[in-house]
Amino acid sequence: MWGPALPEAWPAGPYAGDGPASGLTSAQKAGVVPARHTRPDTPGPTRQVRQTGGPPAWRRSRFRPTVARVTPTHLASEATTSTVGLSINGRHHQWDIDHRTSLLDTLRERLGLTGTKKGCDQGQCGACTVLIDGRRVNSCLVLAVTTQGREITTIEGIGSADGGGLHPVQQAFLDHDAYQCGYCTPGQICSAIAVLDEAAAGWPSAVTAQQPDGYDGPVGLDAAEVRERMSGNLCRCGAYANIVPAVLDAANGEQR
Amino acid sequence: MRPFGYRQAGSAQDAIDAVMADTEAVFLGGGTNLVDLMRLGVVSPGRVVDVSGLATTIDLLDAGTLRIGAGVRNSDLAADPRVRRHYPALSQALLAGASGQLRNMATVGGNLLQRTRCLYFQDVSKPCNKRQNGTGCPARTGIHRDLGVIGTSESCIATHPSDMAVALTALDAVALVDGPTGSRRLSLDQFYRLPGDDPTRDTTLAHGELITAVELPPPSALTAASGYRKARDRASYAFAVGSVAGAVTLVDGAVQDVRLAFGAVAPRPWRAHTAENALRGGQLTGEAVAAAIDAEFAAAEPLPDNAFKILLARNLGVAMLSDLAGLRDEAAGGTR
Repeated sequence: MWGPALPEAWPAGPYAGDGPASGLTSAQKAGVVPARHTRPDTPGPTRQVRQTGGPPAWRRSRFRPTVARVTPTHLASEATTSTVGLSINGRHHQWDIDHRTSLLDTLRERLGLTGTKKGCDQGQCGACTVLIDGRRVNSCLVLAVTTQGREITTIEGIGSADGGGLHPVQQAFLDHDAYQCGYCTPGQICSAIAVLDEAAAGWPSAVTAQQPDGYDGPVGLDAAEVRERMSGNLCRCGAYANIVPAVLDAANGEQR
Repeated sequence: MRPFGYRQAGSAQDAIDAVMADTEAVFLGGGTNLVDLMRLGVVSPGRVVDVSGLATTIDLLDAGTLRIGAGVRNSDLAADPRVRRHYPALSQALLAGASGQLRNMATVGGNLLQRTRCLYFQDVSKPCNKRQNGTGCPARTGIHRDLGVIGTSESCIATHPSDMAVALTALDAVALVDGPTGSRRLSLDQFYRLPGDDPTRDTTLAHGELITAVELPPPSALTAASGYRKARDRASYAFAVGSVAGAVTLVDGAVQDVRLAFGAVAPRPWRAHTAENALRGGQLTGEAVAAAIDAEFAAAEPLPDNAFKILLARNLGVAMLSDLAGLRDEAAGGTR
């Protein structure tokens, strides 16, 4: 069943066709349906290298920042793009990718998979969490060119794409209203899915109690474990009070 | 960000050759620090050589040595049953660091080579001797609460941010390095250098030298009786304000052998040789540990906002060794 008290239809926003105040329906927050602005699956233009003219004033100042410089001689000697084959949510894509492009930007700007969110873009907030070969990572710090041949799963790929069913973690987030604005939610859900796998695989955490010598079996999750293991996903709305029970619910397999 | 060439190394030699061919080339591990620094403009390589697919196994050698490939992910290392059982300080240190996502990405080699999180180093609009020697250090009179108190210099007071490296230092780990002129084995005291008047280099590695593995000595009563404690500003997912890795064995209440290394107090993981020597052979009491750590930090040169770290280090060290020796009720121990 759907979560409590989240209306499916909201008053129209200032622009025709606008959704709810957050711009996302509750189903979109939980990644059940794609967010708006999805694009056809076609390669975008290769990002242009911005060539600068003479040195700006700050470059002549005493504290010259060591910022990136475009060196034409270097560009001439070495390719700065590569053709990369990526497998995303079970579909294969091949693109010419600028080496500087993050996996996050590739997902959002090339594929239109905007479920994965850009928060801090420096690995501190977890909004961009996706699974690579089943493991959770911050896609903002992954260079897309390094993911050749890896299986990438985003929030759009974890449920049944043909409307069949929600992933148990998605259902638990709906049941517990485990979000407010919803921006961190896709990252929270991807992270939580991996947390369940990691605990089942016996991975300890900083709060895992000392086990009998030699024990490396599954770890039972409680609230302290969930808080520690999910600490890489920040929620500025402070929805943790519902996120923790949602993850515990999913861990215990309690479906409603 | 400056455009750069990219290649995935097929072998250590392949990687070394690729970096030696370009003076502006760098090795890429998990990217958790390097990609961030590139985006900030702190590092601007012309070529990135991906070594994250190399040396990804943990092997038990005949003599009992545990050889950890430089490409092993932090999460795999922390969960390894041999590490958890025989070198608990290392597993605890890894789990105390970063987040689940970052530990899945970060490699052992990259963790050792991560750069300081000093605010001025990461802000290219500010002077920084570590980023550009000779421009000055605003931290001394600016924000230095998180920075170093010992081993620092007039030109730099940055700290090394790694938790893992503190545990490895206490456990007498050895870094295996390959390079254009051959292989080297370095203790972490030899691997890291102090800033002196050239803070730009954190380690003694030359351009093109690649960490291939880290070796832990065969397990012993000492390594099994090791642990890690970390003080930080929030309960999880924060760099240390201070940390300690310790190990101790006792015979009739007297210290048979002991290891102490501190994190977040110095430009490198700070192996407390002075404190260890003071403790060895004596009765292990809280007072003795406090006095030994005070002797270690007698050479400290704290600044107004980070002087508290000396007391913090003492308290961490006393609590760590007391816990390991069973001198305190376990329930009284804080979080690691």
